[in-house]
Amino acid sequence: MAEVARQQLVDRLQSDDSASRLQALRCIKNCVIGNRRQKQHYIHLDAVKLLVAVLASPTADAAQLVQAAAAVGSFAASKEGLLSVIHHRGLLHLLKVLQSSEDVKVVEAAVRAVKSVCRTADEPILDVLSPPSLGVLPRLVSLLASPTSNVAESSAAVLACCCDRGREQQNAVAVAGAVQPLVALLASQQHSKQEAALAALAALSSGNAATSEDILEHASVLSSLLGAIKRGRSPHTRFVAAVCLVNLSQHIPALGQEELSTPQGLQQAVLPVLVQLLDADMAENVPGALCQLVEHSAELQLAAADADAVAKLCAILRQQWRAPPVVEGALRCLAALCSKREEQRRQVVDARVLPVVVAALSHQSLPMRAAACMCMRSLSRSTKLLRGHLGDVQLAAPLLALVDEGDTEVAAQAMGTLTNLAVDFSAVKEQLLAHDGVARFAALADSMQPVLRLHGVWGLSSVAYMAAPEVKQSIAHHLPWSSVVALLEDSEPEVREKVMLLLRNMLHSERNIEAVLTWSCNALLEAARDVLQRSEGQAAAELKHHALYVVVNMASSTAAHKEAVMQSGWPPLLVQQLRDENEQVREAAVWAIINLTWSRDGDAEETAVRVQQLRLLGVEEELRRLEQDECIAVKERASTALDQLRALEGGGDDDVAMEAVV
Amino acid sequence: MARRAEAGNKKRISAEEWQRKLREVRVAKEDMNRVVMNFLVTEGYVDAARVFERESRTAPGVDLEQITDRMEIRKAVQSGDVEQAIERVNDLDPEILEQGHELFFHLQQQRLIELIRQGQLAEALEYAQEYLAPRGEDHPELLQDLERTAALLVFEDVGSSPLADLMDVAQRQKTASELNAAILASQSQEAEPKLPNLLKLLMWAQKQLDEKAVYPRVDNLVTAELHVDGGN
Repeated sequence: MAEVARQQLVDRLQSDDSASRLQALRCIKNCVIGNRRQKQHYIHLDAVKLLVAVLASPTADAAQLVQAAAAVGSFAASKEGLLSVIHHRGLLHLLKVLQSSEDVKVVEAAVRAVKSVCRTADEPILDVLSPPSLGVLPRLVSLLASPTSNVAESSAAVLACCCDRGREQQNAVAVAGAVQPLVALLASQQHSKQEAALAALAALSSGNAATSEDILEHASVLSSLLGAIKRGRSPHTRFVAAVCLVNLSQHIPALGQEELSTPQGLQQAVLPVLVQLLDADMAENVPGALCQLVEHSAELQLAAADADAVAKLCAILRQQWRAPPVVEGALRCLAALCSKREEQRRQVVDARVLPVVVAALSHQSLPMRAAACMCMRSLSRSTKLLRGHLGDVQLAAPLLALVDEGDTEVAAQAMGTLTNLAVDFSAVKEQLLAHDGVARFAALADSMQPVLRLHGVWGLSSVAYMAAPEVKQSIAHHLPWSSVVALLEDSEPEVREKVMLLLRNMLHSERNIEAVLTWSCNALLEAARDVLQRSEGQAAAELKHHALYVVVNMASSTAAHKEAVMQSGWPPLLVQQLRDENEQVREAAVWAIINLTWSRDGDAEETAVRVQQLRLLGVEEELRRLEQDECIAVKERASTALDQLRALEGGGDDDVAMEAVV
Repeated sequence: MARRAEAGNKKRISAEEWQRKLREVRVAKEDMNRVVMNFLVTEGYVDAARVFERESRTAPGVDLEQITDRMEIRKAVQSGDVEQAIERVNDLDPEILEQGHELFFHLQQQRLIELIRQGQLAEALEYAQEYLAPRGEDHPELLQDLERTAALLVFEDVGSSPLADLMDVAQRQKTASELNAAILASQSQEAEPKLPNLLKLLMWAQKQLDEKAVYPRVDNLVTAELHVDGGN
């Protein structure tokens, strides 16, 4: 029976009699408001299409438009209703009515309905601010001053929804003149108006310097916001005000007249509020906002840690009911707080949330996996954790899975973590090797993406560090020398540096040298030399440092290997590096000289020849100059080298013994 | 009286001194007017609010038209016309019942009660099936109340059943008040006027002071006459 009645009502929406039509509109509206089931019934009868037709009809009078708009707004309050409204272009027609109607009641009904659409939609709705709809902005701005209940709030909510769509929309909202009336609403006696204005200002200022500066031109804004973070009626109000301040503080001139109008002053004022709100059981993404605040400031990270933010964030991770974006925010925030500080890393482990972080590495949503990966990367910088706790959890497999994802950013984070895990003392190293880590890293080193190449090579260099000969063999097997040559010529300076580090680590310890020379078809020393010469003095100190240690390691070996260095064209280059501006480079070059002039296994004769060759290159003068070096280590090494030269001169070769292998 | 017996230990404040102290406290007339206007608006005395606005130039802070609506909606529930009340709330602000699940359920419950009261049992049954039953599925927290309400249909004489309370006029008042408070909240207004609270504060403060002093009290809030205790 009810079904029949509904069909009759829907039919009457197309009636010629306008009174009958109006009555049907009212009935349907009253049926569906607050009734999900009734909405479904009417959706199946195609009522939404007919309601939209009323909105679109040029003959519909004000009373009909009010009822139709309210009904469409009610449908939009449910997910399936919203789909139907969008499908029948209901939003577009609501916006048209909103923009062009001269009737106050119609405009009010339309703005409430559009707000309902914005509230239900998970993602920003495309129609709202496609260019043809921008004309609605002046109307929305004018409604901000409406005294009718909820109309100003609805308008502010729609404007906020517009701003969520991006920079262009934010700018358009500001240009339409929204800033001034929104700022005025902050001072409203009615808290719902204040809250709506705060939300709109937060959306308007998010990541946008131009609109933030527009807002900051209003002198009262900062004091209103500072008042709201302290005395805001609800945690929600305080939170949204804090978000506004975080946004604005990034665009305020550094030299304010008072402390609270400088970026630092504002940020220090907001920080305790956000940290405190971490305790409130609220749905809003407080950790995300805190992360945005502290991300780029070591000082604020320290302040947050002092306020016990780590414990609070860990508590959030332990609460399983938290919405994914909040968990993601907490992971990112912990990543920032633990990025440089051992104490905080320890705190995270002690709070027993490591399993949560590890589980999040395999979460279904990519942003969550990325956040967990960032957090794990920060934790993996702790040598203590690498020796202990991190070895107890299965990390290698989920991280390697992340490397294989399409997302370069996430893959790079995962590789960064794996690289940290790959160092010798790490308990995870075994896991990594068991999961074919070497082959996976080597494959990445061939990637077209510079950042992945970098991390691939970096990972291999970590694996090679102090590794057993079998591991090094595996590296040589998976990364052919031709790839090494290509990587030494890579367009990215960082890649060149890390591949040099790989060679240095591969050579470490005498027993590996022959294997490495075989791998490189005896071209190792020349290849390293060429990289240094090609870069014509522009090579980064790190790269030079690693290249010199390739030589240092070679020169620490047998007479034959020392001779190979002498024949490789390195000696003049070594003497030249003694004048390098970087003290570590100078020190490494002195070590190479020391090793080359060191005699062992009864090779006194060969040593004398090498010394003679080096003398001819002017090495003694350079070393004497270095005895006055500003760096103590360089000074001492230079003295050692000179002593060794003098000892050889005197014919004796057994009183000074120094050899460097690093 | 106990108070009198202890009077010897307490500070005694004369009427003149009290008056002098009262005169030192400055309460802005505008503030007083706002308290009065707040009372008129919240309690829904539209005509009085209009006159008071004209005479004292105090802004009501809300659209007085909306107060009329709110009062009529309350009256509709109180007189058993729930359907009309729902329609008028939806005209005023559709969001109130769209978002307020519990309130809306109570209104629907009241509607059912009124149908039963009028003996329209067939309509009541249909209404319960069509509107009330699905709510239990969508909002399990309402199930218990829902079952209790549906049980109304079972009793022949509800008045003598364990559910008699639902049929009572007090239930209408409860529903009407809940709806009134929701409308006020939607307009960002307090559900209670400020004045009664201020008077409660006055009584509380006097009680505190009674422990320490004898002074001219306000015993009768209607006349606000100062009554000096302890034979002065």
